[in-house]
Amino acid sequence: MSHHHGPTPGSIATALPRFALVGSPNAGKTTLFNSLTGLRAKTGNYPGVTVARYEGRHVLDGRDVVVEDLPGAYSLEAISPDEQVVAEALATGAVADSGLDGVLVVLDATNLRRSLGLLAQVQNLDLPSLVVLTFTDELSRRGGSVDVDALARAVGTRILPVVAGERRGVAALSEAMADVATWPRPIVAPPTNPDEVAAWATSVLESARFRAPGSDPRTRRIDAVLLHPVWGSLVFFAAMFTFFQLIFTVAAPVQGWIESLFGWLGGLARAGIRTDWLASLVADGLIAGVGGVLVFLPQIALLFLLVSLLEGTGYLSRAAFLMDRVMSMAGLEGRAFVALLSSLACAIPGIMATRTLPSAKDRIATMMGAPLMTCSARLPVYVLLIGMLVPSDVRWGPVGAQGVIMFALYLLGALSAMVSAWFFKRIVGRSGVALPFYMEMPPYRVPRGRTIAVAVWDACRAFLRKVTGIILVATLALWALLNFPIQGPDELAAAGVDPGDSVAVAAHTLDNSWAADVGRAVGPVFEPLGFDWRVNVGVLSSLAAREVFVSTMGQVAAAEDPEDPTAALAHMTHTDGERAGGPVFDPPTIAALLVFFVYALQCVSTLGVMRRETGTWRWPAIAFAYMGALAWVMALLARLATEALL
Amino acid sequence: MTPITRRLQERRCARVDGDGVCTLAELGKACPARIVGFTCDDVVARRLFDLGFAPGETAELVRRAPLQDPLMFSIGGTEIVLRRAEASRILVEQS
Repeated sequence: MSHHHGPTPGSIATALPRFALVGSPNAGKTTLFNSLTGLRAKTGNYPGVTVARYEGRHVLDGRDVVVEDLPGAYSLEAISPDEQVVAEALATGAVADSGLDGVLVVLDATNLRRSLGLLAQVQNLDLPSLVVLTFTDELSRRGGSVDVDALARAVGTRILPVVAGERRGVAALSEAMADVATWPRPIVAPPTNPDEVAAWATSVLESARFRAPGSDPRTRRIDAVLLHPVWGSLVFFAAMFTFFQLIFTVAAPVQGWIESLFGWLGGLARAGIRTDWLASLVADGLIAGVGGVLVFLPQIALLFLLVSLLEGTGYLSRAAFLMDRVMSMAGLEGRAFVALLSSLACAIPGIMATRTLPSAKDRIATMMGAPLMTCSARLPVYVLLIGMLVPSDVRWGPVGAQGVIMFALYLLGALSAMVSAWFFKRIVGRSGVALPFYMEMPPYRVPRGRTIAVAVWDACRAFLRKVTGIILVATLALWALLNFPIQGPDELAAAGVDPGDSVAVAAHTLDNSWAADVGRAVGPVFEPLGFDWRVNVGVLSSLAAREVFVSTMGQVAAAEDPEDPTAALAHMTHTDGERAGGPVFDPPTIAALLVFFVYALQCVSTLGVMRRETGTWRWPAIAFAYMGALAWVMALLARLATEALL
Repeated sequence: MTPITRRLQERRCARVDGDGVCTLAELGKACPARIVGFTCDDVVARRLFDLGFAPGETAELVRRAPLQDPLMFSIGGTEIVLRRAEASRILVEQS
């Protein structure tokens, strides 16, 4: 997943020479791409499919050339959208003047026999091609060998060994790319049907005096522990637990600093700007909006760091191997586990992590389930509501009741995510060929620091560029809804509110805002759930980000401290309707609200990332709609169940 | 395919090739076996071929996952993980 991300989707520069990188997954294509293009890469989607497209610039003799990192493919006879993209790219690229100037076929030297099959297919296309042979160092280390010159003669194409993107090899490659006209072609194209290509590959390997590598002893030794049914599973659970804990112990404090920083900036704005509404716009709208975006960065950076390390070392495949059986019950595969696990911290890096799944259908199904995993933004809401439901000293047997409820909510989220993924896999999976499951287990490798750094930098940059706009717009819109119409001194006097009491002014403004109008207007929808119009305003405000619910409810309840509104909220009563006089936050309502938050997609950032990863608004819209409906129904069930139990 | 029809199919395909031949899924640990063919010639078989499970190659079961599925095989110097369903489409002969 070591990729580059950037602004414009799928832009094709017309006059510049184009090269494409083709190869099987794990062949070292992306490392090579990173070495060739540095940080000058763009990303987007291929039209109409959930397949990411990576294009970058490489400087050749002072001129720019475009290098495209095509998705990994085992064969040009495509059985997945990824491979279809590769087959089409090469087919259209073979058209003169509009396509590719050269194809760089990346072959893994430790896997040469199999890789020759792909080479044979590429050589049957009418495209200048050059072979880049990777992992030659690993081949020697594992007792194998190959005569590169003899191999090049046997295959009829030029072959350049490049070890893990090291500079000398890349420089030689660059020189070769400048001279496409001199690239030799085989006199006769090799066969591609299974019976003949095996014989061809055997004869090529014989003339190249290829000696197959033994299994990697280091990998075997480590796997004997890490994939042992008992020890391996224990290590796995420990690793996943650590992964999860790190997010909270490392990312959370940094997030706290960012929040404090923006809180301080907001305070400065409020103090410095004379006009009240402008001060509020800058402080609560702009600064809070930008802060609301940046607060995700520590989690994204840390999660991508960890996932890149897992993938780069090879442990991700081991984790997927251990979890595949469980994941297959939901119609998914082992690699989806990491994406769902990441979503426990935040659905955004979890959704971005679905790129490790080869099947586009799996990606969509996992993306549809990921937001149901209990993300960290739900925690402040849960803490507030559980605190109102059950006092902290109540114990059920040996454990605290609050902890049990929290755990039950986590469990509900996880099970719902799996069921939802299963459901969408069945729906999305109906069309097209079912992809058989297979996964290569790469040997354990020490990942290059540069690759990891690029992956993290990429992910953060991509998030910032693509999602900032959406979050900012949403935050400003919500700010407007919550703060307009502005209450002038006359209105305040008429309502009996003291203009000097900022808490009362804020509460009054909120009571009469457009958001309150919306809250009352949607009253009938949420009435069966027991939500008061003020709760509706809170739910509405949480559409930007879930934790905003807490502060909004604080303002609505005219709480002295909006960050801890428990006391004020507990005393809030319904003002009208059938429940007038009764407490707003009675157990059935709290239960309904908790379950509502389990299911509803209240995160504009998640919608933004879904849009970016799928290339269309369709899936975010579907996710929002189905989760909203599910939230309503499940909240009603929770309310009825609680009423029946009490 | 229901489990029953799947079993019937496997039995039918395996019976065709006689004794000494079993599917890759039935292979024991550390018993290398030579691949002789596939149960059905379709897209999945072609994909397995592209992965390296070609007739004539020797495959060996390295380990099974804790819940007995999926299975890890060593083939052509690489280790590849297949689920039982896919592994049972590959016919092998014990060496």
